[in-house]
Amino acid sequence: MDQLLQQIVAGLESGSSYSLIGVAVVVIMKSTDVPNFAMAQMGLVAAYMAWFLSGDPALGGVGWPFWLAVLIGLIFAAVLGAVTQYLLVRPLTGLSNQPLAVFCALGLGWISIDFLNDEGLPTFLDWFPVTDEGFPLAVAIILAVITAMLTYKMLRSWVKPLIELDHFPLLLLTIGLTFVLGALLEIWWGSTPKRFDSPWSGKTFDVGNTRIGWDEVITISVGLLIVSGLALFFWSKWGVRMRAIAEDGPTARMLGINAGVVSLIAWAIGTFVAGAAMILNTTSTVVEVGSADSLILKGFIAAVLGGFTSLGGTFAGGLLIGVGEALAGGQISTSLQPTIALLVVVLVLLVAPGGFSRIARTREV
Amino acid sequence: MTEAAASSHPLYPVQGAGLARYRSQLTTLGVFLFLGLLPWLPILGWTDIFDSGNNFGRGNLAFVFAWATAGVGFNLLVGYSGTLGLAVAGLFAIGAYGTAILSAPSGLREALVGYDWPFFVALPVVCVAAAIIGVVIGFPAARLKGFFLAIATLALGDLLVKIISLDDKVWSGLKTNGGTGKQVPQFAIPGLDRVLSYYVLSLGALFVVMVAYTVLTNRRLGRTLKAVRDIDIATGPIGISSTYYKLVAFGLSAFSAALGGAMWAQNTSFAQPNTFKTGMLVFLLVVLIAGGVSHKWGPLIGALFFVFMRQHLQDTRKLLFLILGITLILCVLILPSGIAALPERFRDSRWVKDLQRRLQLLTDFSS
Repeated sequence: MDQLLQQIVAGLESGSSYSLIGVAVVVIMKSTDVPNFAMAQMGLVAAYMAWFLSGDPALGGVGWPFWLAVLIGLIFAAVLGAVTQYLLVRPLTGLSNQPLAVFCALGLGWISIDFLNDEGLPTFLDWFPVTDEGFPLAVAIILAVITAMLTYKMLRSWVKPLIELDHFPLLLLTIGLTFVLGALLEIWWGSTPKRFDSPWSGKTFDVGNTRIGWDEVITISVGLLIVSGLALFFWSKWGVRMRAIAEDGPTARMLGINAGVVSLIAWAIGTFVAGAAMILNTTSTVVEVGSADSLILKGFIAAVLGGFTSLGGTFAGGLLIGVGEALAGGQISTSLQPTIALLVVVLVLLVAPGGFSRIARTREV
Repeated sequence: MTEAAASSHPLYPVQGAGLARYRSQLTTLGVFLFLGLLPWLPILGWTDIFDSGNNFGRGNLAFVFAWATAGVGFNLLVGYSGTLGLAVAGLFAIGAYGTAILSAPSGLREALVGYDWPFFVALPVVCVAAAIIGVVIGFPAARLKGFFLAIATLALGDLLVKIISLDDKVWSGLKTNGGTGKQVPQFAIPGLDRVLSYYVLSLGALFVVMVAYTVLTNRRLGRTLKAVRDIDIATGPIGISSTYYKLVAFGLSAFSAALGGAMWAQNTSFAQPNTFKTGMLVFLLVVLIAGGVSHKWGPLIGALFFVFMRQHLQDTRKLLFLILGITLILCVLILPSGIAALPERFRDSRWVKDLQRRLQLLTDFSS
């Protein structure tokens, strides 16, 4: 009996981070209709940031207080989400592609000044009859400016909004983003798993004969807090606007709602929640690039259980998957544990594609 | 004039008369003749671009053909029927593991134990079994739409890999050797050296799949699949069962994925469940998307691109993932129809049109 309680609490803990990722996916899906596969990876950036700022200076950290580090990590993640929306999602959803073009032009120009100055032309231009050594700085700058202008011009004319807002290109875009972020994190901070200590890690208390960790209690309660906060937010001014855009975009825009700003806010909130989920998840284990991979799939499954619309359904779904996994692992066989979530998603999509939400999406005719 | 206009319709081309009618089949044959003779032609040594120090050139081309084999079926499923079946990595794993287990000698070490079937019996059996599994996966998935279908098939494909890594806990006859991996007995064509033998084998697999693809998509099936993709709802009243055709696409794609997996395993000589996780799916997506969705030569071009990248960045895995991620993002943003469509895009670009018009003016003026 004690063992059962322990397993349920452990399941609720892991389920809480699944559902937070799921909730983050649902917030973005609800407001901008983008299936964000990179959600967990974007949250992982917050976890890395918090680990880096709060870590022991002897192990490569900065040594700031834990709460400050977490706060800065979360804000960083929110900014990252907003920037992603501003640069990558905007041009595909019919808004301006100018930010993307400016960003790419400046970035490429900046990189190519350095490159041209040090190494001359890239190897695929070896046939060009100029010196193999680097250019003088002035020439390098002129060439870089030309590169930047060409990039700007090309991106401005080539990046077109999707004709029909299809999920597939957006899914591909976010899958690509997942890999870019993972690779950048690995290049920046190395691939060794990092120990991320929180003030409560390792501390436990007893309920009857059962030993329960503080991290379990905190993860579950923070999850509940965030979901109820989000539920309240959707009744606030900007929350209502968000739902209006999701319900009927063109009409809402005709009534004067700024779709760009709404979607920017949604992405910031979504990544903030994902960052919280990843910080909670990594404080009880370790920070590593691989930790996002399994979480995103479970988060999507939780979102499927909520029908990609209902926050409560998503949260309950995530908890259910977590508890189901823990019980299957503890009571039946540990090898069954990873298959539970996958079986759940298939069954749910077959029996009730709408999940726990009462109304199935009626996007298709 | 009207006839020319009709035959150049991008979606439903009208076939010409005489030999022109078989243009696409003849091109396919020509390309494969060239590729088949390539190892014996000492021209320009261009396989060296797949070479980094050791003699990897031809060996890497064999990898290209294996990836392209899986990509062709994926293309049929995603490009033609518009069904986002993402179970392809799991089916790839079934091809790799299936041939390894069936053709391995019995009663040896745990990593190399199997049923001792001849390779050319094991290969078709595994591919047909994979096609049946593909249809079984497709049956529930075909009821779903778009993005939900993608998630369901992603989960099912992951489930297949999980079952492989479970091993004896499911059924002792599976002999997959759990998560530690399985050694693949390599089939050598008598009279050819090792690398050349994989080259010919993989090229043969790609040839079979490409011929089937060309024949099927030029006929009724290809047109029907396009109709299912473009006007899914309206297919019922016309008398086409969209579910049936989606299942056909699922089965064919599973067959080619398993064939590609088998060839891939022949090349690597070792298979491990961890290889077939999401990373493998992304590689296949790069092969498909960078090459060009619903373009006949897309998968081959995408596979060339992918293997080229992998060969040159094999020392730094993170850099490879960075480049592949950027490639996917760029493909979605500026090149939705892939590398294979670049010539067409160039031909249709405003710049070339302008140039053509000026040339026309010039010739008119001078005559």
